[in-house]
Amino acid sequence: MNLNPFWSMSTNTGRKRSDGEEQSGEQQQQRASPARPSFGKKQLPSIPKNAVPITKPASPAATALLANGTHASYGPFYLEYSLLAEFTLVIKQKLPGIYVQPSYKSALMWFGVIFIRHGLYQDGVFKFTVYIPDNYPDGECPRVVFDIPVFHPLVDPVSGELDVRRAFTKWRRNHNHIWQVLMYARTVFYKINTMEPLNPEAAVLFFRYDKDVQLFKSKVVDSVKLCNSHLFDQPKMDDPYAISFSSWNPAIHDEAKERMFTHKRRPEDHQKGLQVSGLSWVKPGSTQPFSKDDNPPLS
Amino acid sequence: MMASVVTNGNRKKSLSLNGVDPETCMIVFRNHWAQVVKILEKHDPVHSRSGVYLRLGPVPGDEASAVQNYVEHMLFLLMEEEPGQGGAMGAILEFVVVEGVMERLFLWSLRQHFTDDMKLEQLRMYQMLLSQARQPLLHHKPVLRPLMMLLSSCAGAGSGGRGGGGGSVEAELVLLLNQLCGALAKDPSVLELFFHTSEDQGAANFLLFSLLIPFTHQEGSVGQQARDALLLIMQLSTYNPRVATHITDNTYFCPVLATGLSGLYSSLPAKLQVYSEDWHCLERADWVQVPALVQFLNSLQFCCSVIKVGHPSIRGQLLGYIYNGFLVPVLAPALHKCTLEEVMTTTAYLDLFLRSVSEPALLQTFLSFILLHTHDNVQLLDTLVSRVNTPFQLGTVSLALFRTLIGLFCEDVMLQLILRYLIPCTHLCVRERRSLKDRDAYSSSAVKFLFLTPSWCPLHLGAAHTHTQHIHWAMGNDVPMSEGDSVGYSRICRTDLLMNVNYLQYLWDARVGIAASLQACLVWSGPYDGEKPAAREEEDGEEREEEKMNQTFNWTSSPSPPLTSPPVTMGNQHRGGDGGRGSVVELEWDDSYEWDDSALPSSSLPLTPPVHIETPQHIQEMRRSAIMLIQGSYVEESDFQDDVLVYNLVAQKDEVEHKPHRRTTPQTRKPVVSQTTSLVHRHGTHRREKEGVIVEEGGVREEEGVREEKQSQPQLLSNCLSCEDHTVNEEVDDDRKRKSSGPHLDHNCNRTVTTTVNQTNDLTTVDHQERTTSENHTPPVEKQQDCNNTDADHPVSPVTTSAVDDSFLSQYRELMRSLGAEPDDVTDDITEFRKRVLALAQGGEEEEVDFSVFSIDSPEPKDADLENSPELTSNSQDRKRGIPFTGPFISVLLSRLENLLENPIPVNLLVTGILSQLAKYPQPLLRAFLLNTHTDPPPNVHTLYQVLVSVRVQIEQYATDQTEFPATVREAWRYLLARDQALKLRELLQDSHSDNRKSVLPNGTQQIRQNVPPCPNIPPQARNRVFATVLYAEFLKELAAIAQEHSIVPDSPIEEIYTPDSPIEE
Repeated sequence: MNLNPFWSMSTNTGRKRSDGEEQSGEQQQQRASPARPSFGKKQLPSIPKNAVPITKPASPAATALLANGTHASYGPFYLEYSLLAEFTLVIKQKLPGIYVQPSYKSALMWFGVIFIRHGLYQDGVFKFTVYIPDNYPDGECPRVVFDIPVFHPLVDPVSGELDVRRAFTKWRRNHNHIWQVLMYARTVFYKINTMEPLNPEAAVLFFRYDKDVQLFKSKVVDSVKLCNSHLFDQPKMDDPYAISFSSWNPAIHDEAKERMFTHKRRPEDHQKGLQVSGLSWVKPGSTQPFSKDDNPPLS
Repeated sequence: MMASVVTNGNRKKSLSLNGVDPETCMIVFRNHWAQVVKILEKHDPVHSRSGVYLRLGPVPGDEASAVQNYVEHMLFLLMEEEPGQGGAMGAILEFVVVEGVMERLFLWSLRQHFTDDMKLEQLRMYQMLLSQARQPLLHHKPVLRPLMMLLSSCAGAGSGGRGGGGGSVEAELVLLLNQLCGALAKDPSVLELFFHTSEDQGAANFLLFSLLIPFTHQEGSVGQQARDALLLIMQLSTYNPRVATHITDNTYFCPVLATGLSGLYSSLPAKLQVYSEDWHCLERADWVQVPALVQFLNSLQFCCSVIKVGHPSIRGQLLGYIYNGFLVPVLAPALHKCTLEEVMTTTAYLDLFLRSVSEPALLQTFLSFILLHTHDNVQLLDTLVSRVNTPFQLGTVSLALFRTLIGLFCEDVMLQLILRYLIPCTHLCVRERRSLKDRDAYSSSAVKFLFLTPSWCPLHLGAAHTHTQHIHWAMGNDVPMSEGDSVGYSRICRTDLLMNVNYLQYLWDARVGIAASLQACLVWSGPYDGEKPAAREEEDGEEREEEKMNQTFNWTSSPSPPLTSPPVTMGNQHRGGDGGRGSVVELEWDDSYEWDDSALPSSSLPLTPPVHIETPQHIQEMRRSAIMLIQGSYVEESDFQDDVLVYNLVAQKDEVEHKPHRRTTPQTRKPVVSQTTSLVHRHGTHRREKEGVIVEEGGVREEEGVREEKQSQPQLLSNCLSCEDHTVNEEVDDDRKRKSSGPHLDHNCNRTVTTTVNQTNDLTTVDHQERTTSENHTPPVEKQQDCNNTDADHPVSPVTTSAVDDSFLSQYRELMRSLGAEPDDVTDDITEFRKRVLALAQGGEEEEVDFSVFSIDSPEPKDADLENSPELTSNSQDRKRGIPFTGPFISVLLSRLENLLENPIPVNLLVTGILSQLAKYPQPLLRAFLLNTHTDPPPNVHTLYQVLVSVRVQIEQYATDQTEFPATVREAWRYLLARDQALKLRELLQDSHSDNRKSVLPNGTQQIRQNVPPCPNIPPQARNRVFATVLYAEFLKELAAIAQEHSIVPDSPIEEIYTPDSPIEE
């Protein structure tokens, strides 16, 4: 399994930040570094052709229009950062068995995969996509759609969509977060709810658990098998950040694995060599400067 | 003549002994020696065989040169000799040791009256042996002892100053010492011998070391060699406690270093001639022009090195001496000098020193001086903070100092400056307190910041610029720039997006800056998240701390008598806002000060006020310390706001300077007083009143006109902090100064003064005028006299006291005697040094530049009464318990920011730069305070957002009044963007010239030149406001970007930030 895409975001920024570190180490650097032409780096989409450049707003009306435009034009940044903040929260939650990765093309679409580790769906590996409404966080709750419709009372057998709205009837900003949706997506496979099912067949079978337990179980096992058999398929979306699985290839994966394990040890290594380092002579818990015991001021 | 032979011998290495039989060499050596001995004994009074004739006359030249020739050959043989088997001595060396060859040669040179030539010859001989001998020589006493004798007898040589000979002896001596230290470093076993040899002479001295000390502060290569050698010994001391103990207990090394700093500091120019108004800190290009400063920095660097490599005991001692021998007795008074220029210069020096000190321990010493030292019962830090609010360059330079301090990411600094006021969380409402750690997940702060952008600010400036719009406000170290400008960030979902790349750049800068802060603050003791560290009563701790400091620095000067009471009356008059500013938001913190003033005594309680209770007292002290004296008039800090005022004062000062002889006569004093009256007076009647504005604009126009003349080239905003056109010179040429600044200022002064004087009739009540007059009448005379007395060339005037039997001194004398020089018979340098040692030993009594003397003249009875009744004091303190206050620094910074439209451009750049740097700190307390945009903070609390709103109102107001203003701003904006872009490209080209990593734009230079648009024709009086408006809008973007980046900072910083490389390639 290649987890690299999942980390690619932080990876990316990590490298750049260290560049920045070096720069900021030079305290006296005052000038802006020059604008360099970018080679092979991602760029902001260029101005569409039909956009008329406004050089001189002729009338007050035009100015007012412009002002609205000014503010509105930051909108995508707000959305983007809200989603990034959500993503940061997801990482912070460390949801067991769930991995997500925003797509390359849109921050409103996240690819994910969920590993079920025990219970009826044990060993299931389900890929899914999270669709976030573009008026987030003021719109509906995000949708979760499994690549392959899993046999589950709450998963639509045709579209593969999970019934999320039952848990988040109204999406409330500041209260609801995307990690909760993901958590929910995980929970449904451990704690099965059959009320108002999207997949009546599964619900019915599950409802009559005692009698048809074997039938339900075998359906689930079949479904898990089906999903897992398509694990190595090409991703449904053609996106660089789509999650794709491949069989173990030592040439690629050994190195990645190695990096994942060495990753833990990094902090200490880094603390030594970094140029930017703060200073502190404050005893923990104290609010007095130079209160550290082992550092008496000038004896 | 003989010396020259040896000099040549040094290089006469063409001769080869390859293949020559060692025994032959030995025979030759013996023969030579026999010849030498013959001559030696002939002139030797003691060993003279005949005993009949005792010839002590001069040695004939031919004999001397014969000895010289023989010795030269012998040395060559000795050097070339291979060591014997198993490390044994070679035959020649053995012979040298047994026969005491070196000792007899040394005696021989003494016999020849030991002239400088003889010394040189001997020194070079040993240099040669040390550098080229193939076997260790120093282990043998018969070699080592004459060497030591030579060294000690040469010691006094340099100090004699007898012609050119002394200098070269010095140089050779230091070179030899350097070699010896090198040998020591390689082979520490020799060290023991050095000690033993010294003991033989009766003094347990580490001669080598003692000899080097006098050269510590010497300029040029000799000094450098000496310092290198000393550092070698320092290194040795880390694993050889004996050396360390010797250095700390028996030598005056540490005091020499510290007092040397003081000495070098006193030779720094007391004032710097500054040609550019934008100048605010000493850049490299500035200080390299001042040799004294270069020398000081060298010595400071050396102190750093010693502290770095030296034994902890040496480190501790040196730090103590630097604190008590330099910072407290020299730098502290210098920071309280009586003229603005001197104080400004000292502040700039302090800033430079802070930036130059690389060693954390030394930095700690400097910082504890800045943060905890009290001078004349006023916290130095408060004084420095209060100066931020002064106009002139002092305010700007002070800002630069704080930029440096904040850039250190030092917890102690931030604690003392800001955080301790935020810890009690009284500035937050309950809801905020609970949500302190929450992130602003939906960019609501950013939305609010950007929403403040004036409606007529340009969105984009035409397609040509759209891709490269980015004004990078060069705000010093606070905006670390990214390597690549194209931000790897594009997954913005909508393709029809019209957005400035500009903002992306701010986001990137913010990200880098926050990551750097986060990384730097990992060493901090607490997260400052509202819970840890918890607020608590810190008075005890505070006092204990003070005690600790006082005990530690037991040489600190005895406290001077307490300040009786400051003249706060003026402040009372001006501080109250009359709302004339047209701001919607009432900024009340000034009023709150007023309230504090009236309620609290301006007590002279000397110590740091505890965190959250006596904040008002803090302000008290701050204000008191802010009372500035400008050549004959007091001006309270809050008065330093109008340019007119500034020019008046400066002009007045010039006038005084130019007519010193008339200073005391009543006729000439009259105008001075009347000026002062009008100044203070005018300010007292609020500056926002219409008349005031007119006057002010008159002043500004003058100023602008002059500036235009001075630099017809348009001022580049984004670059105005660069050091290119800043020239700092020692102030030597009075005439030049008069020419450059005198005339127009005088003129300016006259104009404004007449205007104001006329206005006073209309504007003010008579008693008011009288009051200000009486307040300002008396001090000037006294102060001027005082200036005459104290404004001497030496900040540290060595204290002349009855000679106390001081161990240092006696030891020093003893040492000097042991070096063959009478302590009395010393050079100026040494005398100077002795005085310093004395001064240091006697507690570093300071030269008093005491403002308190003059504050007596304008006492406020009420305050004085209150002060004397402690229970009242405590009562009022109790009353203030829990009054939210965010500290003087934040207050000062925000009030500076509120003045954005009136401030000079460099001030605005510094203020916004400092604020954005602060906003990048990761501590939730700080982040929340600066970036939260709640409109309902508790009363008396003023947030950055509120101030920004107020500035916005000012801008809109101005735009309404001046209909052409928005258009001018847009034009200026366009110009700045284009200019900035052109500069970036130019830099890019320069980069690519210096290293060919990137290939860019062939013929780019031509293109760039053409692209730079002409500076729009901005009316001079509007210039500041126009650029300030542009800056304001850009600052909003920067803050918004910082707020947004804060919301996505990963939780576990290190893991996330420093995940391994390998970015996804597209």
